[in-house]
Amino acid sequence: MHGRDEGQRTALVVTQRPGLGAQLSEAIEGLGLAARVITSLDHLETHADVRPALVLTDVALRPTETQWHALAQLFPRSALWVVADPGESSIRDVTYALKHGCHDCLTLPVTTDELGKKFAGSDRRPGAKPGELDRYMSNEINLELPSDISIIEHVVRLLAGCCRDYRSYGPRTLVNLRIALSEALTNAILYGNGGDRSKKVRLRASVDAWQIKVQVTDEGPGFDHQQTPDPTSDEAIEAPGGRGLFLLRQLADEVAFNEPGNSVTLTLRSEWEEATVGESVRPLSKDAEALVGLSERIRLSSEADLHLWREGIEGRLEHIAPAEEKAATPEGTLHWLRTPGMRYAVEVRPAGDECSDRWAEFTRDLLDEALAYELRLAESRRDLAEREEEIELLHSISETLGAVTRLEDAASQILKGIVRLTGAERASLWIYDSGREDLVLAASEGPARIPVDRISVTSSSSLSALAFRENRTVRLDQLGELPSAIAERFGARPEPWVSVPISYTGPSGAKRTVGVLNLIGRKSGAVVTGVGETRLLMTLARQIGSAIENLRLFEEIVARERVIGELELAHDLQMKLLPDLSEFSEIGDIAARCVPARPVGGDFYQLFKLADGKIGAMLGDVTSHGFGASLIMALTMSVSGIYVRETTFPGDLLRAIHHALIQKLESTEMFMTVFYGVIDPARRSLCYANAGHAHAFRVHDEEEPQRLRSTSPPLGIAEYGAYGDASVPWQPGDLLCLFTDGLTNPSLRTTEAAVLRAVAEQRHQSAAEIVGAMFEARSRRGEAAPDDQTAFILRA
Amino acid sequence: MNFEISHHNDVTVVEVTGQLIVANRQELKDDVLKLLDAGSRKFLIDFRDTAYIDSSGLGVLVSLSKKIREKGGEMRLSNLNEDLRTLFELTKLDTLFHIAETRDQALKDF
Repeated sequence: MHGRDEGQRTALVVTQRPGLGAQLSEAIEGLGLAARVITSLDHLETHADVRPALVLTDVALRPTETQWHALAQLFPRSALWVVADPGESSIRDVTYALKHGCHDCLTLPVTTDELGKKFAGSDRRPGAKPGELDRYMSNEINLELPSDISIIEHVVRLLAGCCRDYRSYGPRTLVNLRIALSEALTNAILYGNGGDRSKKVRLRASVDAWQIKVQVTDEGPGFDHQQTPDPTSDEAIEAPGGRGLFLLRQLADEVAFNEPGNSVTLTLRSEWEEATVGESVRPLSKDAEALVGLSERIRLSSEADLHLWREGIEGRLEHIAPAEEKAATPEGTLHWLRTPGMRYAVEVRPAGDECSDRWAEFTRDLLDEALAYELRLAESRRDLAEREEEIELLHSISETLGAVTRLEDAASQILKGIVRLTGAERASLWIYDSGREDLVLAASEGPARIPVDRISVTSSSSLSALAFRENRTVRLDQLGELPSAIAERFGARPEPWVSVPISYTGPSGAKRTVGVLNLIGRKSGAVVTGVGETRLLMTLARQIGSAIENLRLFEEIVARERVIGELELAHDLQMKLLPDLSEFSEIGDIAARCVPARPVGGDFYQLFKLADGKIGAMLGDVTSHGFGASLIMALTMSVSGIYVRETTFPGDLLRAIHHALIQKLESTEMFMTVFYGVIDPARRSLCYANAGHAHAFRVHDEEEPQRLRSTSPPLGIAEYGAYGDASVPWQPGDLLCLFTDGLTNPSLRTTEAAVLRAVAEQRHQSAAEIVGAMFEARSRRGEAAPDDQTAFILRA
Repeated sequence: MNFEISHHNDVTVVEVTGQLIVANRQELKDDVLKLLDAGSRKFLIDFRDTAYIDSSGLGVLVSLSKKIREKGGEMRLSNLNEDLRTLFELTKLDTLFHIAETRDQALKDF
């Protein structure tokens, strides 16, 4: 939540329309705030002293992304709203504004009352008293739209965006909302207003944590909604009309019409609500469960008589913990939780007790904080899971891309040809698997199914095994010359059967048997058993042998190339994960070089533009290199991106990374050293947390580089509570110099000194030149195993 | 790299010569775990002739120390050269290990 400032008593209005300026000033002054009207978004810094509670910007000025960014930078504690006329032209601009940092949209005309209500609902309003928040925690949208179906998309996106701010709506509800609202608007525009562009459609929507209510009203005569048939019934299934309405009823929890029927109100309830309807103690949502658990812990440790309440449907209080027979009216002091989207209260009994108020406030604050944290954590976990899936998806795609011609396909082609050529009834091709000493069925042709797909080469009853073992052609019609096990198996009058060994003579002249070809049965008129045919078969078998061997070699080469290709892809992917430094050129002179020892590595760096002009810089080194390390590296970058803006101190971010990755690190026995520093140019300080990273320095002027010492052991080794913070002064022009031990190993101290000397000598050059010099000075490694090498320089 | 394993009373001393790096760390790990399974509980890893430990070598030391602790044993390190001592200090790993100057000092009150 944002800090509130009792001193913010001004609202800033930016517009070039005098009438609008006057109207807004009046509404603002009605709230007891002072209004200052300015006409341009240029030179905003001249108003930095105002510290406005609220900044209202006329959408007609069409503020750019940069201007919204500037507003947010300059007035970090203010509510930033855009003011718009209802109507087609501004919808796009409003959507754009909301996407780029604007917090809310105010639709004209505006009265003091409306402004006050909306302002009270904003979590950025200053000086709000706890307890009144729950009453106003809603988001209202009021739009007058032209009858033009092209606006539907924008309106739906706008509303869905509002709902996404609440944790209580899952993707299912949001999808339902999008479809239902599109249907309702289509009905209003095409049927209600008959597509007449002079007629308007009015949209009123209110959103809070529990329900989304949207009313769509057109200027048409209305219709009899009760007469619309169920389109899935037999008589209506072919009829084109009525489907929109049927859909609405399926998607929304409630659909209500006015008389005469030109206004429809859709209600979609949060998925939480469904979980809490019922008598006595209800099945609770995950968040409520967490809350109950927390309050239980506080109750046990403090022996206070704590009770938990939530506001249910129609504002009735429902007692949810500890379990109790009757839901009594409060007998103590009731305090509402302030976490947005939560409608819970904690009660301390009995009332009137001197310390119960203090207790309640303390408990509430504690619960608020803990709950907000758990909610954020749950959200981040979901984000994280999604990103992990992305990485895995990329991997499987790259695998599919590398598919090659398969040996089995080739074998089956060969066999088809042989059957056609020899007139055999059926044929099978067996390839030798040296690992298991088996003949493996590669292909078969003909009507009969072959009962096994593996034959041991030692089998005494198998003709194929015999032909392979003795490397000679075996015929079943020469029963007398065959082992008794085979003779017994096939009986006195066997069908024609020839087993031909397939051999391969390599370039060196060595001959190997690689498989067996079986030809069985005889189609009428065809002969396979003559002497001439036998010679033909031998020739064929040799051809097959070469083909199979070549194919196997080919497959090996392709497989190897595919692995190399995948590694290249992985390398490119990983390099793309690293930030594009050109995006950070306005905050300082920055350069970095990351050279993995293998195609992928475990070194990384990361940069963040933080609030109030602060800069976050991270450099990490995952032990070992290769795929495992690169996965940890990717996850760390994701996790830090998710948490960086939610954490106050650098150590908090390392704790968040610890929390997210500790299981992976422990199960793989990897760990990583991470430095994370936040430079605050305004306060001239560098606050950092260093989990076991050896080489982190601040270089100030002519002084000896100052080592930014570890504040904890490396991540994956340190305990959760171990991550500390430290802080050093920061002067403009100072260098933050970070590198990994790939630059210094194996002789840590001498090479570190050399690298630092290079930095000191090049201190006045560009960051890129300094990084170049660091690589020049790095260790020549000698016998040491190659390691990822990374250097990072930031001058701010 | 070589390991030389000797026994002093109930302490198993593993002397590491050369480097402890990604290529040979598994060997050290397997050897020590085998001894742990066989009942040894006190281990001293002596680095008198070790020039260099890379990060995966450190990882093995950490994981071995954890496994030995879980079985109620203890692992100590001795004879780190100046570079290695600096490495342990800079990464704050010195707070996690019992590090002795010499082998005798490590053995004295083990």
